[in-house]
Amino acid sequence: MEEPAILSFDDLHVRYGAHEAVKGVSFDLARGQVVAIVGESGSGKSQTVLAAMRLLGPDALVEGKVLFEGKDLLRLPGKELNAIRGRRIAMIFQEPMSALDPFVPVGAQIAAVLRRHMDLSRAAAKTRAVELIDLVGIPEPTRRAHAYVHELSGGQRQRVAIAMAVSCNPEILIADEPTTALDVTVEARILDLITELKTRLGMAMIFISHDLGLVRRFADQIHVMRAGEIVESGPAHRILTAPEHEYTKMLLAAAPRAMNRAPQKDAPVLLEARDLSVHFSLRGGLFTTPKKVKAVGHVDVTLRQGQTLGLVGESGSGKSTLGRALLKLVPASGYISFEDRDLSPLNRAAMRPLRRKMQLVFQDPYGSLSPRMTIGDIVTEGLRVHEPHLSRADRDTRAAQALDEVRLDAVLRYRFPNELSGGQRQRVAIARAMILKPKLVVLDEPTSALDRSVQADILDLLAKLQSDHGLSYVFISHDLSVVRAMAEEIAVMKDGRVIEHGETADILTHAKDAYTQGLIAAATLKALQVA
Amino acid sequence: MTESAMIETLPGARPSTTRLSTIASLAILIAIGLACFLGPWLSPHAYDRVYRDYVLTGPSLVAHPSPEELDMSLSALTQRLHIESAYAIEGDTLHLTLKSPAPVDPRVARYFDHSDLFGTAKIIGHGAGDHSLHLDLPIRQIYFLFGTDANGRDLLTRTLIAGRISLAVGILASLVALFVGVAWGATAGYLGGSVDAIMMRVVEVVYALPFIFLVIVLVVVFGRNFVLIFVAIGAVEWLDMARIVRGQTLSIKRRDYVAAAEALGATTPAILWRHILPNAAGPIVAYLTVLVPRVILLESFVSFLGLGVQEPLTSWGILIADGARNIQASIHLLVFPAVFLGLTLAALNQLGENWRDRLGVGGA
Amino acid sequence: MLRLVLARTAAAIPTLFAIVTLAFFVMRLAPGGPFDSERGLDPEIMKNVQHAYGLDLPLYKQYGLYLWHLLHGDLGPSLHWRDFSVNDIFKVALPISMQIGAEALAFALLVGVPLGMAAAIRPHGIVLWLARIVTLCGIAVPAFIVAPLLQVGFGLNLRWLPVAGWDDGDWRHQILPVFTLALPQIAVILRLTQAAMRDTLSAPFIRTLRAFGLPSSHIYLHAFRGACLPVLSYLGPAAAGLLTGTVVVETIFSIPGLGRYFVDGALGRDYTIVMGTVVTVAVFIIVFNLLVDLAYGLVDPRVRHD
Repeated sequence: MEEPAILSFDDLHVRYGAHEAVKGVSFDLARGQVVAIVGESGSGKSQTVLAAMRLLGPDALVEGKVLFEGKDLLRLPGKELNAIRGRRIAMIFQEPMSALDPFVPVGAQIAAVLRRHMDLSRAAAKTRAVELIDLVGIPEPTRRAHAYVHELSGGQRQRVAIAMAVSCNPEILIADEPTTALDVTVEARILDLITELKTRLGMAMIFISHDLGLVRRFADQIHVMRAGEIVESGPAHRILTAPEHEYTKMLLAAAPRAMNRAPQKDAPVLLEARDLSVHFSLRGGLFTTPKKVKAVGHVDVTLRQGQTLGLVGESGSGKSTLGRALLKLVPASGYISFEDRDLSPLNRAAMRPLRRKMQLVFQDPYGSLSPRMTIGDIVTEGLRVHEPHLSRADRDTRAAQALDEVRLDAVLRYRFPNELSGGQRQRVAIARAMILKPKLVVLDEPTSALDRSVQADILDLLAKLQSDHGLSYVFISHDLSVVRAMAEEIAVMKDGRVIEHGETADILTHAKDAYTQGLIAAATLKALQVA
Repeated sequence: MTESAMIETLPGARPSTTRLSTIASLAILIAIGLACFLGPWLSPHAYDRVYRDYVLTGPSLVAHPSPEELDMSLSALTQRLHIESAYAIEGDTLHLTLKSPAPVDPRVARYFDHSDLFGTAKIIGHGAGDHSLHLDLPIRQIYFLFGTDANGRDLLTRTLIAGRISLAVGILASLVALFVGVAWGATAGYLGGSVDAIMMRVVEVVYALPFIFLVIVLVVVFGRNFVLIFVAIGAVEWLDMARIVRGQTLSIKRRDYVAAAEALGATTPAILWRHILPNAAGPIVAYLTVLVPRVILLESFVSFLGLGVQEPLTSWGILIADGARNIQASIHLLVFPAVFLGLTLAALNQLGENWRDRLGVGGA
Repeated sequence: MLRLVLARTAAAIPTLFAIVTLAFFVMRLAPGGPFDSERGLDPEIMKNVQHAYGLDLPLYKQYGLYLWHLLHGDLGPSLHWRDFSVNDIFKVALPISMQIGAEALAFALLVGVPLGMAAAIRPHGIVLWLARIVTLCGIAVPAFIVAPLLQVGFGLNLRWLPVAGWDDGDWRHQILPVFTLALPQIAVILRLTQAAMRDTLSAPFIRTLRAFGLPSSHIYLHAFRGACLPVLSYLGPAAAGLLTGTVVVETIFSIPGLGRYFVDGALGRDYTIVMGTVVTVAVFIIVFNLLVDLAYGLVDPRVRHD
């Protein structure tokens, strides 16, 4: 283990004007070692490696040293630096879609790197590129080499990026959240690929992630970063089992705890849907008949009062569409009843009075609040619709109360969304739904866009609101570990259908479907096996 | 090419110059705007007042008439009346003595009533046998800072009056385009489906019309009247606005805050008014800053071809056309209106560019 | 690709029909007729002349006849240039306008694109100032100001170039009109290229190329591919802009092109010339936009017309 470091960061600083994004980061990377940098958004973890590779914009002021075999990367002439980049230190980025050139076939992109560094002929580079595409496990490599980025799936794109990164047998691989943009089952396979290639090619690796659980499997050394500083470093095992710093402890504790609540079979049924289907028509021209695409097919749902139904599935599984169809926000066929009233024949106007009883909270707290309205106006928008007699002052009072209920300072109602943090915004979105005192709330990935530490707070808040007001939730998520903490029942969705449905504990222990098992495996992969 | 050259291409490099150019552009626009709207009232000259003695005078900071102009005017008089004259200037007064073999008719004094150089002539006395006449002529001091045009009208006042027309057409036509475009685009985008398809098909059809040619046809057909010009220009310029607003509406419609409003039970007009339009405002204003100079240019262009507002009213395009005709003799006729037009266009463009930079919307 | 062409052609038919109809009736609503200038024309003769051109027919019949002839590619006789059909006139005038337009577009691209790229790659020093000045001139100094200044400067004072005229397309006669026409387009193309290049250079995929140590020349080449898309899609509006420009330029430089016939025709109520121009220009714009869209599909793999 005690090899001399091939890459060492020495007191690295990154400044943007007065703001210091990285405040004196130092650590070493030994040959063949895996170092993980873990931190929440804005902790400066990506800035650290981008600064080392001199990939930051001109407004970033970088100080300190990054020594690669004794040479300071930050002061190397451009030519020498370019001989190292890609050849000896390679990178994988978070978003494979935008990180790859949209105008060039993927094979040619890999070949360009090979020709630059490996001195290969055009034909040899092409052949080698196909071999690499095969190596990273993309089927039909010869054909895929001619594909453009937009023609590949998310997982395949990241595989191409990996092929490009390992093409010149680099000594160091820097992976900047390489799986964050991917579905959980894809994430697991990509991680397998990276770790396998790492061992096979004997690379050292810097792996950047927001997820302590994720890096557990392969990191030798973990550095926990917060606000531009490394707050705790050490061997992975030690960090995970005996964290010393409060922040690390908090990150570890932030994993949602399973509640294992038993469903109450005798509670009255609040919402029921039978044979629910949603079709989207792809827009045709004026004279061409639009194509129909089935988003949700023949789904049955029952939700009892005070209970939570978890809808689990990966992107494109139709879970969000189903959530909106249950609220009659997208046109659907089939039967829906709410409080024993048939909703199917109701039109938009007839639904309006019912809307106050059924609400929706979205995933992205940045997109779900209109940037041009004050928090107070956002929270009370429902009151304008359902209690139009209220005066401005009344609404203001109610806004303050609603913010108080979601544990936000009432002063915030005069602010605009861009002045709030992600967690605060999500509380505002919850307050907007709660101000109408609904019975049913559809929560569409309410914590997925948030940092782990914030996630736990929001889940707590949702649980408290549920028990205070006897709410029923439809909780939509791609993350089984979160759903497990909230739902008594789980429905697993794939390609618009419910493939498995049952009590949470049953599903987790006795999943019949292979897809469900894959999801569970992915969730346990990330789960922290600490007491 | 070096590494540093590449790094510097990343955005966010020059905030101070942007700010400075925004302030400068605003200052220019406000100055031109105020001058055009207030100037004509403050000017001693009416925009249609003809000074026959001052045709195509060059620009000057010195008061007219100059000694040469006095001399020329008086020698023209003496030639016409076949009399001799002698004069002396004392302050604002010109002492004139007219001599002739025949008796000088005192009605000669009336001649000066029609002159732009002098006030009312006063007869001081007669010489022996009425063969000479002594007159006192008050000299009228007039300034033509920008000179005069081929009809002897003050170019400064005319440039300002022209600016009124050009700016008014620019703003009014843009407003026409704004209202039509926003209403059309927002409706099509929000309602979607076949309504959208039909409405945008209409836009496509109109889009293929050769704009300028249509404006010219419209102006030729319905006469050269101010209202028509801005309505005609507005009527062809709303298409881009409609497209932009529709695009914005389509993308904003998919935002979660619109879905949230729908989930709250808000009505369509309320959603359009409270959510979609405020959030589309940035790009709308950005396009407006492109539109206003474009309309001003279009109006000047139509005017240049002789199809703009009618004399004696004028616009920058008409003045520039005038200037182009007299370019060899009096280039100032071209230069002054051209500078006003150019400054306005440049300032509006710069303002728009800075605004779009701030917003991060691209396009020209 | 064939489908796109067919679909566009099908869509163009109602568009053209609408344009012809609109132009026909708007033109006829105009007060005054094509022979008003010829004062003292004997009413009897006037009647004969009107009859000869079918102007005494009911409006709907004239319209029907016009459409019928148009279907056969016949734009009718000119009302002003006796003994000439509009087709005859356009046979001479259209190539002239197209030549000036094409030269101006080529010139604008040759100057605007490299200068815009240079200004994006090195946003400081002489290049940037040059780009700024060119842009400012193109925006703030319209063609109808540039043209007379050029005429006086190069034609009258320096006597390097002819002031006006066409002289069967002698190259000296082309320089000033083409430059005048190109200047505003240079400004737009320059600005578009600069902005697009700047955006592309800060795109994540460019960062990837840099992270893999690829040389600057390679990076700029690939950035240019992305940056030329906005320029490409501007070519449609550019063609329309050039057509507008020809009206002014041809008027000022006395060039016997389409634009000049159009202005004269509009002022003199030469119905057929005006209609012919509007139809021709519309067809031209539609065809050009189709070509641009096809080219776009070739450059951007994300937009494929199959």
